[in-house]
Amino acid sequence: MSMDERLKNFLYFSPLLIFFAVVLFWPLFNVFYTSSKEFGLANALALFKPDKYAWKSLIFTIRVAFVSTLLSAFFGYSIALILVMRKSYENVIIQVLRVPLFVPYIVIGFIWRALLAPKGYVTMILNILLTKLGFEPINFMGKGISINIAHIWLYIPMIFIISYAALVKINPEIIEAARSLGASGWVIIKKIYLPLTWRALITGTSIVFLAAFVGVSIPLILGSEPTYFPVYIYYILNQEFDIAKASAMSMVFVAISMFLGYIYFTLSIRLRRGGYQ
Amino acid sequence: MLKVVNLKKYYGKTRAVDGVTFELKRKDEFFSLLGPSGCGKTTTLRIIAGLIKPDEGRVYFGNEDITDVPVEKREVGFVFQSYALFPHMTVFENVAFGLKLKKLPEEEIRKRVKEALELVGLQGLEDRYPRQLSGGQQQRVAIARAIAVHPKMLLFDEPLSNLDAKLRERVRFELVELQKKLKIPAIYVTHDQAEALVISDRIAVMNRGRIEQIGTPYEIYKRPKTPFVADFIGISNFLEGRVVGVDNEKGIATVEIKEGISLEGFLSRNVHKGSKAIISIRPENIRLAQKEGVNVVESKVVKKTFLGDSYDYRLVLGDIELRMKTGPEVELEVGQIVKVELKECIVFPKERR
Amino acid sequence: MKRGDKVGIILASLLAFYIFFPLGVMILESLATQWYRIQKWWAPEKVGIKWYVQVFQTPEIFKAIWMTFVIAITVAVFVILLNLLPAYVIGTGKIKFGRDFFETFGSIPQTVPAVALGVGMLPVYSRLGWLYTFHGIVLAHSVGAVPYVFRNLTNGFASIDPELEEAAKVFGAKGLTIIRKVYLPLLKPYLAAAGVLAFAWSINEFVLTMLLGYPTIATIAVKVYQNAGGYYWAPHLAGALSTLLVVPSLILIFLLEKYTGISLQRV
Repeated sequence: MSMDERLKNFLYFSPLLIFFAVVLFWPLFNVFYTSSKEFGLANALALFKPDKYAWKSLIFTIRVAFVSTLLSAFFGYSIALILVMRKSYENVIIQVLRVPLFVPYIVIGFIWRALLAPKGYVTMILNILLTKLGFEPINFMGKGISINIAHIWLYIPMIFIISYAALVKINPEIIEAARSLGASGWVIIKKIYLPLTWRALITGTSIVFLAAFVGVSIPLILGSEPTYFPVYIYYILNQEFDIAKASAMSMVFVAISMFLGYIYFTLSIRLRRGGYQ
Repeated sequence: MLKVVNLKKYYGKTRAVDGVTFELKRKDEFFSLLGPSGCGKTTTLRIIAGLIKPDEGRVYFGNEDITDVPVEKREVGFVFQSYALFPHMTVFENVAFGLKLKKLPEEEIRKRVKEALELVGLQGLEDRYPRQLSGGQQQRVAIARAIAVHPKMLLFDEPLSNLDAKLRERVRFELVELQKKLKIPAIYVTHDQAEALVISDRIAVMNRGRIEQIGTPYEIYKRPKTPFVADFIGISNFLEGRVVGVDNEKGIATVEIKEGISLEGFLSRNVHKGSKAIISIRPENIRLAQKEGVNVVESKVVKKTFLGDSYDYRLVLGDIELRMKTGPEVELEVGQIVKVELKECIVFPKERR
Repeated sequence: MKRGDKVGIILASLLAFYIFFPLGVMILESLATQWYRIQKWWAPEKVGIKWYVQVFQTPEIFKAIWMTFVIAITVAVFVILLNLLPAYVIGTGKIKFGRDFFETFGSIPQTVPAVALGVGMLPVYSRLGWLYTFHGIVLAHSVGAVPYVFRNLTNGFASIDPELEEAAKVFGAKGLTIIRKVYLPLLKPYLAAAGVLAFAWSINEFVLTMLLGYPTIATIAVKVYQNAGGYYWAPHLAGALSTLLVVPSLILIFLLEKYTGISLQRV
């Protein structure tokens, strides 16, 4: 490529580069700079001592995000498998499952708060059943499980869409070949479907974990004790106006999300390139 | 042996398979299902394999009704059009797949994989992945995988259609050789009539979900029972006319195709005097004639194409056009009037389709 | 599709119930004008459109609705313009090396948590004087919309036969003319997809608006938050606002997919 063309291509990119520089890289640098210079590493580490609230919040958040991811992966992938294997009503199911992806997170938070409130549908129906069976009625508000319930409504569809896209790419004759050689049900899932789609599944779970871990809106509306980590940062920023402390805490975030993002992108690029197929 | 009775499979209003019945006669018969795409041949094969359930009809193997036996219990070897090799497994793992599921001992598996790979001539490639192999090699792995489990029959779904022309010709013979060695019946689906003629013991020609004719390659080629078969296998000229005489004993009918021009041909089915009929003649059965005689007509050469090993002439007989194929030594000029004899005509009753 | 397959019917109805029941409750909340939840907890005593009327009669809320759509449309147009040339260079393979790099680069915002970004943006915006401004919020919303637009436009350019561009060059077309005359008409469905996804991202965005724009700039998402427990628990008003946010965009997406035949990829 000639020097001229290189320059031209660079010019094509320059508006995007300038945009990123101002509203992405500079702010990220700020987070890094503020947390190390103004707040200091020692202070930052002190925040995450096991008896500190930030630490409790972080651990709680990782646990909740992990449970949400696991449940979503299990249900999302299972639905995708059933659909690929049975091929019935697939268009209906795909269209239905795409709906939550286009509902704003804040609305998802609101809807599930309405459903999980003490007089909400889910709580009431569940408690009527529980009292009939002789158990104590339960209360969802302020607990991690309410965040889990709202999360999986959004994330089961996400995992489903990603896994299904990979599963339908498998040449149906491969499945028939396996069957003609004596494989049935579980064996096909274990030996053919899973090995051929694990990349998509890993990609899906890493996207979902990332989203669940960093998302503010849903836990902000539902509330929890201890506070969800991103919500905690948001409060520090919006109520305590302590940018230095918020920056220090955000560093954890930036680091973890960059790492997961790296996994996601290397895998998703290979996925787009085709992998096995 | 394998027998299918009145198989039917409808997809909505489309009759994919519409009453297919046939039976394999010998234990090592190579039987082909031949027809254009969408004729129901692949669906029929898939029903035999157990990959599709028929709406009606039964499949028997020996004396056993296997219609409701799922594919994984049928012990068939299926070779797919796309080869359907497992992309995440090596050649060895691919071939061993069925054997491992049978829970055979490790040693037996090794032995059988080796055996199968030797049969298809692929020793030494055990550790390669499918994507590292050429199309021809992948095809052989697919065959090795199918035969390693010692199936009761072999089913082929257009297995050669993804190979280039030269390789295809070589593999045809190898396939038949292999199947005769294994002494198991084979059913072979193809749309390539040349391929079917070369490899089959018998052929079933299919059209629109039905079998038009079953017979040896010779019978199918020489004595087509329907115009469709005559048209699909090889090339045929078709002429229309009215039956003026029938000799049922000899199996011959005379058809007038134009005022004063009548042709004699073999009867494919019964025709009645006075009814409309179609006559088919293959281009290579039109020969130059020296003297007048039965089926000798005068015609004019209108087009001449050199094909290397032969000439393709277009002749006209009034408003009827005929294709004639001759050896390269027969030199005619465009515009020349020639006498030609139309040999081995076949007479079909004209039906409304 | 196998009709009459029982497992299929059961699975489809269970999933439809699971997805649509919560949305139904959202609409029910918005229509409830009296709902004490004492004896009859499962249904409101009175229903009506009172809350919708209130939404449109409260100037502050009406302004938020108006603001939401103006911001979202501006974001969609801005991000498409921003990505058009880079997507052209990458999608058509003008840059052979480092395609992965640029694809990743274009997708960085997806891995940056909004909260962390907001923390970093606050001092930057206050220095630049962009806090509480329209363009400040548009730029903040644009960051997260870049990956969707970048990917759709790249795919769009990649789907177009490169010989078309060569043919145009033979007739003397250059640079922008090629994009305008050759690519844009063929790119329409991808542009529509990119635009709708950017739009959807913007109306979804909440944290950055709250941190950088509120109180001068408020969107429906902010109003939902305030009425859904942020400031007070007003489920009927929040329900009405949510319905106004969700239903039009779902209809828009449905119509777009039906008439252009494209499928929007949110993940």
